[in-house]
Amino acid sequence: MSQSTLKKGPYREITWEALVLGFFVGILLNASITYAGLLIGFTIVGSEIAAIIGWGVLRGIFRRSTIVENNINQTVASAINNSGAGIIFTIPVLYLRGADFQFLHVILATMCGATLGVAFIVPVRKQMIDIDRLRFPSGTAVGAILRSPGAGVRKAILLAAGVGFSALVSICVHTGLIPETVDIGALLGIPAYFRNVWAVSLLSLGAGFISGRAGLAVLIGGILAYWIITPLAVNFGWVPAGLSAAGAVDYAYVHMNRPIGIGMLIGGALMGIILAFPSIKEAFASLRRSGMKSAARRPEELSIKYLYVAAVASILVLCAVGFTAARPLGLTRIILIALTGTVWLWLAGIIVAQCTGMTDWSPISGMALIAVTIILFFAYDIDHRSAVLLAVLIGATICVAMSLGADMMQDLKTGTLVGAIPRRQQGVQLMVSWMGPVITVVVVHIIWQAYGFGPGTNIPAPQAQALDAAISGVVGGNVPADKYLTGALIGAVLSASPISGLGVMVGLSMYLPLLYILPFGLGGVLNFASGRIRGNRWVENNGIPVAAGLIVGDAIVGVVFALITVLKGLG
Amino acid sequence: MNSKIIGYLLLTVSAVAASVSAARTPVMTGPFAVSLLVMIVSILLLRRGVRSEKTAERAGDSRGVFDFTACLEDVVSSLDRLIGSKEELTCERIHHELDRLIEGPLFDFAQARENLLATVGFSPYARLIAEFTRAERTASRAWSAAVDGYLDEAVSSLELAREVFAEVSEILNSLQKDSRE
Repeated sequence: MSQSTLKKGPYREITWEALVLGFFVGILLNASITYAGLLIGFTIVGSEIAAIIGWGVLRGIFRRSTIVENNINQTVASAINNSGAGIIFTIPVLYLRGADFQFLHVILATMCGATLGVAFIVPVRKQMIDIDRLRFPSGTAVGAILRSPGAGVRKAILLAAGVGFSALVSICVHTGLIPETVDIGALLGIPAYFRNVWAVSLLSLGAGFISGRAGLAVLIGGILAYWIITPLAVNFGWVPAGLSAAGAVDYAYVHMNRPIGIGMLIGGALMGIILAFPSIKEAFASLRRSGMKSAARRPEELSIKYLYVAAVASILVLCAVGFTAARPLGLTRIILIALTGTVWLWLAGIIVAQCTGMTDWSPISGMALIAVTIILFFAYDIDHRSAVLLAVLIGATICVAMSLGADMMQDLKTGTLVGAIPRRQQGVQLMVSWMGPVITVVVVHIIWQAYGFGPGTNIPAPQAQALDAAISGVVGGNVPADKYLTGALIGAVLSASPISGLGVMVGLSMYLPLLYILPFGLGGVLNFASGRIRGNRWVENNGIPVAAGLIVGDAIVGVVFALITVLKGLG
Repeated sequence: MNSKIIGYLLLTVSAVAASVSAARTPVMTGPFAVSLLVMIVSILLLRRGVRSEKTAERAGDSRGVFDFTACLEDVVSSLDRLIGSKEELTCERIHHELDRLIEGPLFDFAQARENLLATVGFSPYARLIAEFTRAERTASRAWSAAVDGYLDEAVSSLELAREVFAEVSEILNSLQKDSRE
């Protein structure tokens, strides 16, 4: 235990040092992760880095930092950093399609998305963190770092061992000493359409361990998609003849597993909302009570008024985006799109927050695809260029809102573990969240001007290419509505089972790549087995610190290599 | 075999059948509808099985059943003792005592919380757990402040945590009284 000497004065929480440090770390992470995301196709969460830098700078240099002050530092850094995922999946599509758009409109739309995402998620905190007590693996890992000065030598050693081992493995993977994936199916001589490829990802293993039971449900979904549906589809001739084994797996993913999985996610989440109505009601009641607390009790949350203001603002912003991008639609249809977009923003925000809380994975790309499909459905009779511009701008607003909402829930989970006051964290996040999109959009624009991205360039922007292809499918009338609908029905029934959120977890894993699902599921199995053998207290005191370390080590190395990639790009 | 096991088996088989039927283009409507219907039946069986298991647990041997009231009373009295010795309180002592409470009774309460759901119903459960988590978070704030060496903040958070835990205990007592009546 590193017991500090007695300190006088108010407990340091929101300080200039924490805000400024979080701001600069956030900018650095945002630019690096945006560039790396356009290059490799996925983004990395940088909260762990921010927390560690926070200890180094706030405690090492200023010598008076507190646990909750460092929590504010990492909250600011991740708020500025995390809008990247929502933007790099959507906005590059406009560049790839040569769309005629105003740069300022993109910045304004995504800035509003960031603020709306934070405001919309305010009432969800009570339900998901306080009542459902979801694990939020990354939030738990950051909590372990922040609590490390008082967690005792044993836990600190376990955390450090996890960080060290994971970082070492991750360095070996990044430098090619260890392969990124292991094809166990090929080693066992199993047909290639029966995919059994594992990513060497200790981050996934750690997240699966912290998720616990959710890890098992995710594994079930992966098995259903990749070991049952895909082989049956190949053997029954449901995939076009002449495709290679890998091509058949990809076909089954795009035309079967992904749309059914997205449908399951939505159906499962809707059923979850219906079943969780009492806890949602309690969350709203609690927000109202919180507003009426006497002066003796610190108000816990931001007022529910923020949600109402956000809903009105959302409708106005989406209307403005509609008028900017597709004036021929007319007032009635633009208002209808704005209303639908607002409802979807709230619903998708809940789905993404729930998925992140249960598994650490956020299905933003799937939710963006649905958003774009809905908007294109409303704009079916105007010219395609305007319709796509409208759909991508509104899709980007919704995606940024979802990214920020999910990030805020992770930060609030960390805050719960260290005893931060939610209202302060929410206030800080509202204050700074608009900055992230400005940085990401500018970085995307600079990269486009300097190098270009997309097919035939050194920066493939794979997520944007995937959305672009999906938009082409929707514009061409190729929407797998039957798969979405049947998936939604299955997800809804699964979520009505006594296993909370089953439909959401199975749907999520049907739509994610198997190579990450397998180590994640293994983490869930290890948690379950060690809980049975050694008991839940052992899991909490020994397993969780190691698992948190695995997440942190992998994330640190990921960000360092992203920075190296940026420096190489500049050189 | 009880209805819970039958329910799980049926749910697994029917969910696989429904997903496979949905995967083909066009969807195999007949098999899909039948599978979905079986899924619904299996959910009903599962819910009945879980309910009867909880009822049997409550009606049967009470040894080994988690005592929520005693747990909260233990927490409140521990905090009372800690706050009562205000003059002798140090950050080290608060830190040490909170470590014991967080890893002991508070962890046990959180682990066993789903049993409360069956006893008191969803809405009261939501209210109770929301308040419990609030109290737990306030105790964590006291822990953080103690580790950081801010004694005044640690003590005031401790007092607030004690107040909220006492409220949770009162809510639980009144709910248990209602369920007995």
